[in-house]
Amino acid sequence: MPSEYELVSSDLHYNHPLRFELPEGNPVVDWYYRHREGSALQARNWEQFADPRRTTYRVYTQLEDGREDVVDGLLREIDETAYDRQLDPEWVRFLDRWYFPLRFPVHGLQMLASYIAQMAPSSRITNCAAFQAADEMRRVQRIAYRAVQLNGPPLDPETARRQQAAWEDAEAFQPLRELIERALITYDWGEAFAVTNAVIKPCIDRLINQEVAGTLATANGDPILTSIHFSLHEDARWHRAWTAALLRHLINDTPANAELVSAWVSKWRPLASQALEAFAGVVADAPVRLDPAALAARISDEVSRETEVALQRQAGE
Amino acid sequence: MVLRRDDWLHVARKVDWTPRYVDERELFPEEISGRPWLPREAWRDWNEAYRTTYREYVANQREKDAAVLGVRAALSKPRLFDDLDPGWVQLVKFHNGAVTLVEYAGAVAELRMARFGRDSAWRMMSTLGALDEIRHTQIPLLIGHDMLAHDGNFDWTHKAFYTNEWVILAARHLFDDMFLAADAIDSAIQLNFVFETGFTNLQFMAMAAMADRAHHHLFEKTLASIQTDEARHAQIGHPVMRTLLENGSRERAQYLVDKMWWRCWRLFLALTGTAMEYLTPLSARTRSFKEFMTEWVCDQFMKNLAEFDLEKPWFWDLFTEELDYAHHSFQLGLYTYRTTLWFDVAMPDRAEREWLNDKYPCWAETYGPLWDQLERRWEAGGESNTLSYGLPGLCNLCQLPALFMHPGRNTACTLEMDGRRYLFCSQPCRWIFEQESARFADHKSVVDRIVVGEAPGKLTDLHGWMGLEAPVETGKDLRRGLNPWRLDPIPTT
Repeated sequence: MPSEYELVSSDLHYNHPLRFELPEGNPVVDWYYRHREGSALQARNWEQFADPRRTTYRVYTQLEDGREDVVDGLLREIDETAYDRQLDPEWVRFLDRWYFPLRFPVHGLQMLASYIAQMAPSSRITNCAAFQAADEMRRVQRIAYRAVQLNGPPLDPETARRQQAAWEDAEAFQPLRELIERALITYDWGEAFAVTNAVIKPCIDRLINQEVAGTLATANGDPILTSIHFSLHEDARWHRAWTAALLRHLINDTPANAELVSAWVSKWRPLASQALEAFAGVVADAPVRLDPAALAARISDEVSRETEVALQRQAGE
Repeated sequence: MVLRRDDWLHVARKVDWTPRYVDERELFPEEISGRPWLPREAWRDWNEAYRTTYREYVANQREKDAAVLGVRAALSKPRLFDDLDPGWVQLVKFHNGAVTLVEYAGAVAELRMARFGRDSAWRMMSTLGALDEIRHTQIPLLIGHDMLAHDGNFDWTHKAFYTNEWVILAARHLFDDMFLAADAIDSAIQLNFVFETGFTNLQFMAMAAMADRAHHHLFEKTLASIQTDEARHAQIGHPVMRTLLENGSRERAQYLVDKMWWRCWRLFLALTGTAMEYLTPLSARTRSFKEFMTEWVCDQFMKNLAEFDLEKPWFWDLFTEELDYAHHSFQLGLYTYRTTLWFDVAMPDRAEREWLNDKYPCWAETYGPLWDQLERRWEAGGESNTLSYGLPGLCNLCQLPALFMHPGRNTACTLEMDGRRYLFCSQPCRWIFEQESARFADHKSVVDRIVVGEAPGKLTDLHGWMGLEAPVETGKDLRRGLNPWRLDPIPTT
């Protein structure tokens, strides 16, 4: 008897492979045949991948409703304890310059996940990536909420513009912006998946959720921001978990996929490292500072080790 | 102070930035983002009417799922079919097969808009829309699976779209055109503006009302709950339409609306019209299909057209005329070709015929004799004598048999192009084909495939090609004819 997850998640892309009803020559049909069927990333059996969390729609809304309850509680606490009045004005300035603009790149991550989801050859992958896109939307909204809570309401248009300008002009953001923009035009679905979920997110999620809005926030007297991002990072941890499960499946299914994904990771790593190092640099801009070089090196190490493990063929599987 | 949604949501909805490292045309390629390709400035005022936050979304949807799945849990599986009319069971099977995986294709379309929609607020709405459509796939799959224990053909809930069954092939053709093989702009107009705003009310709300009267509370709850999601993400169409009209694309917008109205009409008369009036028990019927179409679909459509100063489609008179006939004619086709379907088809009994004639004053005169004749043929030569064996003329656009008008009024027409002769059920189908012949010309209907040898011509082999295992899966007469002595239990796998 199949599980509920298996029943409602398996084998739902009736147009794959090469089964659009409208003929080739139609731009969108050709797009799929080129970037999905034509991707170098192939598997004999896509359906053997399973989301380690077995996320169905029902499970997803239940889980996230619970997480959002927690964040609501934290945001209420900010209001009830006049928390924002106690924040160091220099830290508030830091947030304005380096934290609130993050709603833009996180929306970029949302777009990347949406692309992976629509292109994936298996519905089990599509579902994971669609829920991931929604998680990024959640993060965009919590960052935006906090921006208005701290500076308004209403958020004066000048502040909103300044935050966007920081994303568009500040040097510390530019390599990350370049990384995300270039990833967004990577249309081969396999490479899009690899660069988003195996290169960008493992670095950037840690840097945002655990460091800038994590350790650094707590060090600067803003522990509630750390708690909010602890909740947001639970989403990111699952993104890593399903990514690892998919990579494991892909490599066990077709061992040559290990070299293929490695090549993509190597191709993107220099730009991702620049993005990480440049943005990590902002932790020296806070009233209580962290060591940017040590931070970037630690994240880099963790991600490298994680990728290495994920790309090894699991003996006996 | 807890912030109100409007205090902060705009800050999260508007997160576009100007790309620097890549060209905007690479970021939103016309082939998948859609045309006209307008500068970002043109999309800046994209706003949905009713806003929802992620937080509200997961809370509401969790409750909605609990309400639907609570009904499912309350029904012990052996009782799922209790009190259900046999015709209604076939209706659910028909609906599940034709709709479930399309919802998943809808998720892909929403995801496409969530990446290639030209404004971030649009992409946010579509992200939630994609989740909605995953829900609309998963609930029917669960229910369809529950029903398997009673009727093996409920596996068509999942399997239908993987087959070449002709009704499904027609549906695949339509939904490819509407959104699965359409760019983000065309999807927003065709799927959200026309299909979801106009037609899904009929499939979900009207059907839910009937399900309630047919005592199928799980189906009722499911349909009604799905429609509340549809109503939210259907809003995507309006601001896209507005942007097109403000930027010189009135002609294109009008074309997409006309085309999709006609194509949706074809689907709904085939799926909903026949199901409402030939499979729904009399006691569950309220309005006729025509009344539902007029009150629920046409009125809303007219309001939408008026809002944007769009014109009524040029084929409106033909459409109005078809409201009295098309699904009744189509039902005869379904009935006589029933062995090529995955559900059973009904011959209307005496009381149903009275009801039909009451709702459609020409019904008895037009269709009564044809059903009488089928009855006589059954009497004379058994069930096989009531089946059609010849190849029907299938329309090269809608893929359905060209038989939507009453006897004596044939609307079929043809087109010669590049050495190939195409058949159409009607002028609007031909007109759509001509507008986008490059999109459709290389497609082959089931009959075209039989003719060139890509599909078997022999009916028994054709069943296999269509994914139907005869005689277990192939459609039958619902009541085994109208005489009570023919009423054996319906075989199941």
